[in-house]
Amino acid sequence: MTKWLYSKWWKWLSVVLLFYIFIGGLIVPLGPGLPSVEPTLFRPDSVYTFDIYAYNTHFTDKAAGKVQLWFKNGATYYCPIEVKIIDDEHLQAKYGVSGFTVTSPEKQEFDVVINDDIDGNVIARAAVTVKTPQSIDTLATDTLNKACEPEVLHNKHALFVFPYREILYETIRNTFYHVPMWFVMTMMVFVCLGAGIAYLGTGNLKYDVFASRAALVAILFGLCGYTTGMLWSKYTWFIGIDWGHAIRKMMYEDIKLAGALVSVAAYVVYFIIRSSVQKQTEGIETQESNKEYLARRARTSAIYSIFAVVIFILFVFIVPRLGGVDSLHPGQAGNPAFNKYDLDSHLRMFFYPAVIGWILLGFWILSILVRMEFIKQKQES
Amino acid sequence: MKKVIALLVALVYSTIGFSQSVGPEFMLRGLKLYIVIGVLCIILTGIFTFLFAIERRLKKLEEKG
Repeated sequence: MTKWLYSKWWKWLSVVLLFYIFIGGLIVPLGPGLPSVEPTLFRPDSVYTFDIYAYNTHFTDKAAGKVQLWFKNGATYYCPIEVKIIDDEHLQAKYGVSGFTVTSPEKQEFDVVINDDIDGNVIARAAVTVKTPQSIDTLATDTLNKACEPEVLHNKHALFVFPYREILYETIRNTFYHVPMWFVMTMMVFVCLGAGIAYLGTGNLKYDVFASRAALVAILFGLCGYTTGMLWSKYTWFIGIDWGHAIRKMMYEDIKLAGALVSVAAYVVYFIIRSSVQKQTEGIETQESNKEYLARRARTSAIYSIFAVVIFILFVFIVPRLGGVDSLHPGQAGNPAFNKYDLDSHLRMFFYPAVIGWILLGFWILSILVRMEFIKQKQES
Repeated sequence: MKKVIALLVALVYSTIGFSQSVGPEFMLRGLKLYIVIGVLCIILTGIFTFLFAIERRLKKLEEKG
């Protein structure tokens, strides 16, 4: 069983995969997107010049072909009066609506849609809002309301890029570094449980070594997951908020973060309980040999590891999915599921190797810690 | 070992190939990115070297015992 500790191929595989995801995961650019449109508010019956700032687009590239732009309201596309390409990532569009167009008495939101042959459809949802006057000016002409039928060659971009997601932007790469940490922690938690049960079943102290070292690796990766997650949230959910407030908000607004902290703490407690088991040296009747002491410690740890894994499952997998609790994480508390929107085929090319690579690294660290403990026990005996 | 190194080189080159499909502006804008990648590679190399060095020492100790 312990043969895998000494084999090297999977350790080299971990090296290859982690280099692959660190280099590839950072070097592949983000897909085209529209981060801002100015002005964001306009009134009917006047022509406005909108500055449209794009990201990683190729408007001046010859291969981009005809750059088209529409203002989309509901299912209706409206053509602007004029579109001017300033540079690869900047367009100016003249557009306005007449009072006739505006049906809502308060305000209406328009999407801005750009299409070219390289970037495909690039959309800024609800980018501009038309503010209607109290009295509609019937003098407005229909020239401002050119509804048109868009004709496009390519809906999707033809680039090898990561998906452009609002809020996440370039930080989407952290998917390869943050999410797998929790996968490793989960694996280690179950290794700890499995080895603990194996010890209770066989009484072989070798399993206790595996269980305790797996708990240590679980804490290590849990803390790494927490660190990468905190950094990620600081640059996505909590922009402009100082660290103190951000951490407080994380704990209050996301049950998963609080749950993960409790889970990591449960494994810290595992070591506190483990170290609290003292060797009984006083009295002839209660005096125990080193082997008896190790067995008692292993039994206590193994039984606690069953409770710890229940806490882990409860706080990481069950509580965040309950109705009525709030979470900013994808797939939780009414937020769209991670897989549905954020993981496209390009991300998967890096995400799955990342998961395998990090898990192998976790097992590599575990194998070293286990071997160290074996040597230590051998020397002591 | 040679196969593993060949796989590593192939994977790294393939990712550079992907990046070229977008054009040079991303690279020019992201010059800092190369520094980040370089530093990360040095850190990773350090971690892996450390892990392999520990393995070698452990092997020696195991053989001695």
